[in-house]
Amino acid sequence: MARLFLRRLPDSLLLIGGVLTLVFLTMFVVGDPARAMLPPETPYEEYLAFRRAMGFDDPIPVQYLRFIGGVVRGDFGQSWWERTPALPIALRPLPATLLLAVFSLAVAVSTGLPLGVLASRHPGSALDRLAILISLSGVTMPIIWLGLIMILVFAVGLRWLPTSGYGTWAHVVLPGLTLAALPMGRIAQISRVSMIDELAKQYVVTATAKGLPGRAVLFRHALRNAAIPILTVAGWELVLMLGGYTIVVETVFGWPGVGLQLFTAIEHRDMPVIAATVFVISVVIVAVNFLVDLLYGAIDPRVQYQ
Amino acid sequence: MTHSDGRGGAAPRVGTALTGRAEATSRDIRGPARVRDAPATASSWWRRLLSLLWADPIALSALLFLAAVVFVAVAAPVLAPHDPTAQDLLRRLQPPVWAGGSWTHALGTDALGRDLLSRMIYGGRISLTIGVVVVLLAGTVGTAVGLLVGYKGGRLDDVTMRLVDLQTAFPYFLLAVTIMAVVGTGQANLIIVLAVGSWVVYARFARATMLSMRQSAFIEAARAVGCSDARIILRHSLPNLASPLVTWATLELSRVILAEAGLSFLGLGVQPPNPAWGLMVAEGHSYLSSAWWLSTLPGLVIALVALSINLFATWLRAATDPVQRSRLRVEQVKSSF
Amino acid sequence: MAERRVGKRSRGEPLTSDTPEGKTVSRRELLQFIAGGAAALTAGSLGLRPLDLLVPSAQRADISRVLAAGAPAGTAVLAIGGDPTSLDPQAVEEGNERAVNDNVYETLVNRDAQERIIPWLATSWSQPNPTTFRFRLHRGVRFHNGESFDADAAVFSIKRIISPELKSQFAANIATIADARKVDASTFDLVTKEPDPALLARLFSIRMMAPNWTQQTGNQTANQTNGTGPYKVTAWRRGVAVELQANDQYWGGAPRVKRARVRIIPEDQTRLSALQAGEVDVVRGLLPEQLAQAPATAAALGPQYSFIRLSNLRGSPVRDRRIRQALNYAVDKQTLLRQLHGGKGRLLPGQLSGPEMFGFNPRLRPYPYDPDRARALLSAAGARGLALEIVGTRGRWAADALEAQAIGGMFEKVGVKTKVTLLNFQQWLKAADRKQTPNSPPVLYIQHDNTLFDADRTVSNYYSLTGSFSMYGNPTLDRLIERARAEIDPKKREQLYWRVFSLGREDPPMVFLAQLADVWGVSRRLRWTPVPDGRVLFKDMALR
Repeated sequence: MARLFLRRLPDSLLLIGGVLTLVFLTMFVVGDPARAMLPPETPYEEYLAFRRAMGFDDPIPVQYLRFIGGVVRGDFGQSWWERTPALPIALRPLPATLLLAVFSLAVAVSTGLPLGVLASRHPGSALDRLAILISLSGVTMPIIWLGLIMILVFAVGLRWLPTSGYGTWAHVVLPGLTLAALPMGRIAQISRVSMIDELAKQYVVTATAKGLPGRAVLFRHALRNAAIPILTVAGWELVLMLGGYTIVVETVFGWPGVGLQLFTAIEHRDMPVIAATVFVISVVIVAVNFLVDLLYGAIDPRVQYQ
Repeated sequence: MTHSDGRGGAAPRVGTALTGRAEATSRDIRGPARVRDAPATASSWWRRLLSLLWADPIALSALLFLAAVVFVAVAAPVLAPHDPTAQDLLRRLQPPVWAGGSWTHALGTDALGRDLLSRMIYGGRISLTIGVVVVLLAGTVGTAVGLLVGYKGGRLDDVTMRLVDLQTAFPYFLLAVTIMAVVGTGQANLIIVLAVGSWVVYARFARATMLSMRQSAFIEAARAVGCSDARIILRHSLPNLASPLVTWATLELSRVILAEAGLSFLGLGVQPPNPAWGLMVAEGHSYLSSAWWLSTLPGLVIALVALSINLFATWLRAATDPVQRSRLRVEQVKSSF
Repeated sequence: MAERRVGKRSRGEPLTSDTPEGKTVSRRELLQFIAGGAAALTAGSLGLRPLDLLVPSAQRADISRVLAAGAPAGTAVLAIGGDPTSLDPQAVEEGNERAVNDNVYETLVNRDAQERIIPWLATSWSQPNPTTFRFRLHRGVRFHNGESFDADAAVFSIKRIISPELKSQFAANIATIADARKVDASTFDLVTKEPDPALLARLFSIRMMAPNWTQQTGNQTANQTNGTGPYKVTAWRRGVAVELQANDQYWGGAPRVKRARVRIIPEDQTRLSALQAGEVDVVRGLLPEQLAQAPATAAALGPQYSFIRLSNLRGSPVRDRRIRQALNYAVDKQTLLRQLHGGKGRLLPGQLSGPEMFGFNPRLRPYPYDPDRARALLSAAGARGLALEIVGTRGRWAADALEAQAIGGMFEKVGVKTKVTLLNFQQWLKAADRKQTPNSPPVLYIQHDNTLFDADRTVSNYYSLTGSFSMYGNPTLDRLIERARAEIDPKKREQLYWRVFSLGREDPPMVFLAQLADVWGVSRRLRWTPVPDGRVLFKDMALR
């Protein structure tokens, strides 16, 4: 495992470096951070002085070297808005996002997987149809609408849960359920299809025809094989969530996560925070991909890595 | 229809008897399973397909619903009762006809008094166009890149996959904002942004197919026989890919329509005053407890369209090429990570 | 393709994957499916009201108390739309920061309910010479950490905010201040670069900070606070809430409400839900339709003005003054106000100011809604077939997108072909700035906020080319504005501004729309009267 990690490392570092360079370059394209930071009616001279003071007028390669030099030392500079170091700012919302993502994924897998698997046992039955319907409704509902409806029903109407915020177990329920709808649907779909495929395979048919014991045992073997695509989808969903896909849920529920912070930083054109946040996200995504690959190896010994 | 069991009932389900499972339900007893005779011509393939479709009311209704939606979108100028941009500030936020409104605005009006039904009809044009174009664009480009890169292999493959990883690791939202800052907002640019976010999976699919074919010596054999590169790619690899590709593309269609809603919510999607389903769901979010129809009705339409697409795609996949699909699955997954 | 598949089939491989989807469905299942969908639709149309029937209201209140999902007794909760980026009171100018710091830090002067300037931390002032203001300070005031507020603190605070190292975002407002000098322990002098009659109003931007504490804390002033105000910050859960506690040693007397909280809820519909669920007491930024569902509302008419900036520069399609007048006649401002802002506000009487602003001309009347006159003026100016583009924003100000679109519709009604383009705020900022974008849009929707309550800021920015957000140049007005800026006698100064506004009505730099009220949704247990400058002060509140 350590060897695999070390083999991966140069690639991952290169990747992260490339992403950060792209982030740096985008800053020159998306608008003027000085304008974003000063009140609209600031006189032009003040604005120019501000730009000079912040170092925005230096040539681009100079700014880039300054930036990369800092990154290598772990210093992303100071947030242009908060005037405090950017990396701690980027790390702040990480626990909240991880909590939300992991909780949602857990809900999605624990509901989607059994749903898909059960449906695969009796294809074409009413249960199967129902499972398809449920999984599809998860995939096709607009998240904004779902989230707000959840609040209206469970928080305002029934007063069972808080409308928004962060702090107790109760706060994670509604946003987690809302975020889980889409992955749940996808996982249910892919589990169902994978299991149907596996169960149709030669070895299952033969074994059943021969009357070998334990349909359940056979089922479990099929599940193991079907696990790879399921794991793929689950890993992909987690990566999507961490990449800022959670932003709609974070906005609707006031969840202090990475997506919302990145969004605000982009609004403010606060490059150090954007760079630091993207860095943190990239590192977590690389870690998740690595974990998924390890799990592949654990599930299916046929999977080889050169 | 002529291939059915002639009992005037539904067509027999092919292969029931071969599952080896004792899943006899009352429906199975209706008639013996019958293996299809080999269709001799393409047209009889089509007819077989159609008869399968006729046998499945769910898939059929899904397809008919989609056809109806497309028809309404195309015939919008004729069918829409009002101009979708006609404002009437004195008739704002009127409810649909069954919730207290009037027939002049059957589905109610929005925050500027514009007729919701007309906006939804015209919105279908925009949303469906965006969805179809994005899927076609991303699918074509992605598949082409994936096939090429998987076939050539070597450095091209390495570099391309690295760049793909780079794009995947880059937060999508930042990417969207950057692209729009450069090229501006607008429908064409929205299509670009959505396509950029979708093409990767097609490339990975195509590349994985190509890699698995290489592993199975299929390509060596074809080359030995004297096939040119282009022929190998187009005539031999592409058909293998067709079934999962088409399935994925149809699923993507619904996802893209929803993605438009998400981007519109964040201010990057279709710009007002143009109607588009996703934008309408996003614009209506502030009125969910006061004028629920603004968000819910377009959302319902999106869900129904997406549902129909999914149901039809499920049926299509099963009806076209199930065997190849199962063989493809394990290998494509192994080689794409 | 067909041939290959058949070949495989004949080998006898199971076609089981065919079976799941290709099945027929019983009529019953189909009917159930349809019935389910119809049920969902019906539930939706009844507008979720059936859910009210699920739990009777009396029980609901009990449940919420038990779950402690409601606002804790004795804590006043304000819900805002974004996390403060920093709590440093002098570095960043931002509404979210103000929501917290208006209760924590204080300034030398304050405003009363009629928005007149009154002494606060400064008890009196005089002007020994035109560029010097001498302030006498309140004695016995302490910062939260115990440090004394005195002339040293005042001088330090002023020097800090104008220092180039701080790069304060208040730069615009305080550009006229040159220096501050201590006179004695409770007196100090503030020196301006040139005579500045609006100086007292500028002092609102300068919060008083403790010298020792600030120097020791360094850049952590972004995260910690130490003011003279009635509340202290006890905790800041990022992105979630800021907790405040009453300062019982407050020099103005301990406040009634002992604990307060500023909660961050980005989504307006969720803020409304939180209000309805009893989790918060004050909510800002709701639409009229949402306010109709709030338990109660509170409003104050503030210096927030909406208008459509017009360009009279060469090349502008609306250069001719008749066209600009026509556009003013073409807009039905009363309907806009009533329909889009719930009627909460006042039409602008042909000037970009209101009675609370110094320089407001009480003799001017709003442009009436007269589409016929508009059409007549347009054809007199030879503007048949005029095509315009209104550039506006989305989601930045109250009903901004709706208003821009509605006005576009009104222009169309008088024969102007109008296109409406809505930008996000960043793009709008760039486009609106004439210095960044030389061909800045000639027709631009703006909402302007003048908490200086002094006409100088408004007219410099929008009635003259000196402001980089203006596309209107008028040498006559320029002369008047310059004279007014330097005029010490308030009566004469006021007359000059009256003249500026009066001339500006006839040669309009904009389509005058309305002065908009700040409207808050409030809980039933809150007793509070808001002030016109938009501040939410917990010390003015009481909880039933």
